[in-house]
Amino acid sequence: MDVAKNFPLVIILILFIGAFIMPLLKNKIYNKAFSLMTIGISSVLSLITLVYVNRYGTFLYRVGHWDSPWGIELSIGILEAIMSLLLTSVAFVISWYSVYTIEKEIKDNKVCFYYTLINILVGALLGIVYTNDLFNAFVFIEVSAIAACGIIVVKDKKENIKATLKYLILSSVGSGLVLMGIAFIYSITGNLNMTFINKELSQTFMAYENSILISLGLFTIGLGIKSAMYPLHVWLPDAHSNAPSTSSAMLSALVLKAYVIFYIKILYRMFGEEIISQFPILLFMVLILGSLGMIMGSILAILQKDIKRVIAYSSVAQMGYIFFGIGLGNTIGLVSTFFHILNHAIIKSALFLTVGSMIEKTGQKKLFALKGIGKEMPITLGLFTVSALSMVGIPILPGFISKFNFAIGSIKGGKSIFVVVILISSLLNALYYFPIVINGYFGEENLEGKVFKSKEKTIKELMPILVLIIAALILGASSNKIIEMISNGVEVF
Amino acid sequence: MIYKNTIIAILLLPMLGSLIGWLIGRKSEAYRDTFNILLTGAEFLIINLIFKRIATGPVELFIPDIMGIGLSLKLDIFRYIFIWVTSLIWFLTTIYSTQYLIRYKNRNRYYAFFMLTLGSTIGIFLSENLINLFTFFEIMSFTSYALVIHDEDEYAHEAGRSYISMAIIGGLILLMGLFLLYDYLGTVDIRPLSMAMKDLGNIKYLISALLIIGFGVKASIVPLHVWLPKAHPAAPTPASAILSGILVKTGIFGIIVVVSIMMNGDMVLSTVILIIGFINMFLGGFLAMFQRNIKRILAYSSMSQIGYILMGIGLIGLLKEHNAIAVYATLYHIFNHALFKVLLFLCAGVIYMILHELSINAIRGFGKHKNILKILFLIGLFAIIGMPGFNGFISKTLLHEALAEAHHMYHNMWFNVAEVIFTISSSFTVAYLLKIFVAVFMEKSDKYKGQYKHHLKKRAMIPMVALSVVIIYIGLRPNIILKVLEGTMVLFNAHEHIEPHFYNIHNIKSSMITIGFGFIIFIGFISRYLRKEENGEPVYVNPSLKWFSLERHLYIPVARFLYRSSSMIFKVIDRGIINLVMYVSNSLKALSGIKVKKPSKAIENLKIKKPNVLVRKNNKNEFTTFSDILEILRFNLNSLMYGVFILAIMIIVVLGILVF
Repeated sequence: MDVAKNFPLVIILILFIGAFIMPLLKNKIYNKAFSLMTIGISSVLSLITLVYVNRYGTFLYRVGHWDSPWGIELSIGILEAIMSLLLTSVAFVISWYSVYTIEKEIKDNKVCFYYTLINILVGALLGIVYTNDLFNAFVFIEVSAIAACGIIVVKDKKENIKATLKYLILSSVGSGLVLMGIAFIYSITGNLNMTFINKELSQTFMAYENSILISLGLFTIGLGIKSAMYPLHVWLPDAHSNAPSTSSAMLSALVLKAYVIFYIKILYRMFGEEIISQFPILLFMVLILGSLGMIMGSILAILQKDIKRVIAYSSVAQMGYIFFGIGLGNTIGLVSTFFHILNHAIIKSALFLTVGSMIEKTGQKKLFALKGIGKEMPITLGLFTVSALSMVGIPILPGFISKFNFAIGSIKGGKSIFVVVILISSLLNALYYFPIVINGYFGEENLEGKVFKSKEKTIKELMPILVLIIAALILGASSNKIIEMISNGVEVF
Repeated sequence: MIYKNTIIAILLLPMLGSLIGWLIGRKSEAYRDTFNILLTGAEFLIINLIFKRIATGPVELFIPDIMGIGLSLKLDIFRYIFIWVTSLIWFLTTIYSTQYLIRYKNRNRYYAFFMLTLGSTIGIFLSENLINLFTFFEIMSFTSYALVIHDEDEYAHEAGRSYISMAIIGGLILLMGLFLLYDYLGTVDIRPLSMAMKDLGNIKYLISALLIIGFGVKASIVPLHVWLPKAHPAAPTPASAILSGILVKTGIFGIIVVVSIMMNGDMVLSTVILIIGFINMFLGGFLAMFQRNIKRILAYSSMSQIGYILMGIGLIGLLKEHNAIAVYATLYHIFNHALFKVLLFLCAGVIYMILHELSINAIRGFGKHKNILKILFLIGLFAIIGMPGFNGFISKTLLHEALAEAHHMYHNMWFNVAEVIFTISSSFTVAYLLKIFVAVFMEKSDKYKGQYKHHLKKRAMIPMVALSVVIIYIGLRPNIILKVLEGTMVLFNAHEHIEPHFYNIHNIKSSMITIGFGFIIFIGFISRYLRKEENGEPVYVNPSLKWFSLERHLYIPVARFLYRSSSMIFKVIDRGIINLVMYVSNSLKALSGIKVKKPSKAIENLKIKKPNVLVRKNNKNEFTTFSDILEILRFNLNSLMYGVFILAIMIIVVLGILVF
């Protein structure tokens, strides 16, 4: 079984090498198949890694057999394994969906480029998740940022270029801030390996209090930009709403999350709980920003008229939840954060894909134009409804479970008042999701002149979304086991 | 263990029987009637069989996880008396019902609810836990409601409305008392409560007042009695009989539990109950004299008799360690009242069964030639007025002795008044029953000459005869019941053992004096003032109809006022919120519609670059509104410049907060 220890590196290599082989394959079909195959293989390997880690515990992998302070190290625990499984499998499902639809959104000659970028993006995100080395992480962050910009601009429209530029500039600023943070840390400790930095810092942090604070602030802002922490989310609505819907799904479901994982790693692995607890103001700030995001994201979503922008702003609100969980600063908050990452990745990609198919079939993006869609595309809107219910937090669905855990976490952390924020945010969620569903299915004037199932996609094309919804239901149904597993992971993080 | 199962059995038997009976009744009415008679008979038999075990000590039973805090049942002698009389009366009224109800509709529904009421009543008497008691109490209220409105005519529905609204309000008040109790003491078990209540401050009076009001509605204590004179006549006679005979006792049971057991006969509370008892006894008797509907007379009579029982409960507390006689008197009277009041109701039922009429004026002279009915009614009459040789005599003598003892103990002049009221009320009893007897069974009428004989079946007569036999038997051999009652002494902290001699000259004399007074009242008041000649026919009038009615003149107006004022307040709040929202939204709209004069050309020319929106708007309109400005703002917020700006501010703020 020890061969499983190589899998993380193998996954990254497969994805990257696959990415560079793809341009050589001229045929579109081969491209798609190859991309799907590589991502599929990597998700299978991720699953094996998860099983391995679950049985034998965390392991460190030395890249090129150089020992740690000098060589690059990958650290794979339960959480990393879960995240890599999530990233690869959701990416696989989204790519599966994109196989049927991508030509309708981008030009034919860009298809090959698109899949190359997808492979690079997933590989880079996995790298961020796995790595135990700060600079290595930075490199992966940069790679992923470029790839993410690439899958937005691949559509080649005016507003895409505008959105991409905005994203690129802000994202580069974010990367720069992260780099500055790394520089601070390096100057203090002389190390880039997180474990070693932690060791050094725990002895000397009293002497460099301000430097540590500044670097914490830089990391928070830098990664905050990248993962759309309110009010640094300004790039997100444009980027997500203009990109092809599969790209939006990828960006919203996966890209945002990888940076959060990295942020958590920086907080708890690099600085360590001891140092973080010395500066409660930091976590409190994250908590406040998270709460603001939860509420403002939803309010902004209510104001939108474009369905994709609604869902993009909803992502801002959901990222608010994730930062809220981090800001609680206790184990249960962190566990809920991880659970919410899983939940949001699955549900949000389902939402983007359903909305994508509605837009594709009707050619309309505006909310008022999509009234009565439930008659034309009942199954698609049904899938959308289930996802929306989960977002609002209806019991059994995973959204409820993560909200419930957030509430418990805030009560246990002595911050009961924030339960109100969760409730208000859920209410606001309902305010913008339900009208879409209700106007879609009901209302005589809405349904007038619509033909039943006239625009429905075939079951074959809807299959990926169905898989996502089933995965969400399983996630909700077996939440106890998953939460237990995550708690075990958080214990050894 | 077998006895524990038996307790469950006597609780569940009627409840299951109700369902089974209903199912059988859908196929065959005759089988259902037989089944119900057998069921109640079996219930009565089982209860008789477990007497030996209960006499040696109480049986307790606790089933966890039912009704939230578990079902806690207990059967001791005190509860056994209630249960025994309940099952006896139910057995007899079920037999009677099968004859009485023949011409009624919805018989199947009636029997189902009749049996459910039996089950819940037994549940009340068995409950050792106040929450269980409350639950059964509410079940009983609702199931008996179905009996009250059985006729489904206007009068029945009006009576049912009074009944159910009073019962619900009473139930809620009771529940409030239970909440307070649980909040302060953390338990609702009756036995521990009697210990715990001692250490509670004045709040215990509030709690017990709430509980007594809750139970008092059922027990028809003044001024909560308004439903009783309506509901009892409205129900079919067997149902009125159990309403009057047994269901009223559930309230009494609750009051005994509160006053005598939980509060250990607290002086203040006992005095209040005593006073209420006198008011009840006097007012009930007084109003009964005016009524013309036999069942209504009997209903007011129940109210008056409840007054005697309440007086007994008050005396239990007041007599402290000498309370044995009051305990005997109270429980004995509870027992007796059930017997003779049911007998009288059943007699009235026989008349109704034949004539469908209950007004004295209409049925005058009906019983002139009906000797059996006359004798049965006379037995009930003698029992209730306390004629020596009947059971009422025993309990009234005991009550009178208890009162005398209290007088002896306190030497308070008020006890003189009390004695007078006691005697007058007893005379009222004599007077209003004589009114019925004279009018129905003595006077001559041309209409009724002994016909309708064939209407009476044995099934209707057997229960009445059985009741009469019991009444006379325990009237002549009072010590049988006294021996049973001895077992309850411990519960009331009474130690004495009494062996009274009832049939001595003193007791008989005082009984005769009361009866004599009753005759005087009948002749001097009822015959003279309430009986008028009209078209050569004597007619009884009821001037009390024009008097002040608690329900019409107080409760309904107060309730209406409360309802209107509260709905008014809620309306203000409700409309207020809506108006506020409307106002805010309107003012926002107005604000966004404010037109601002567009900047003059000179200033406009200074601007080098403008977003498209701005340009377009300005070209179109001369004025720009607030919403246009918002639009521009949104456009600007979405720009990259804003993003970078926000980013810079965030960096400064975050680092500032962190470092300083």
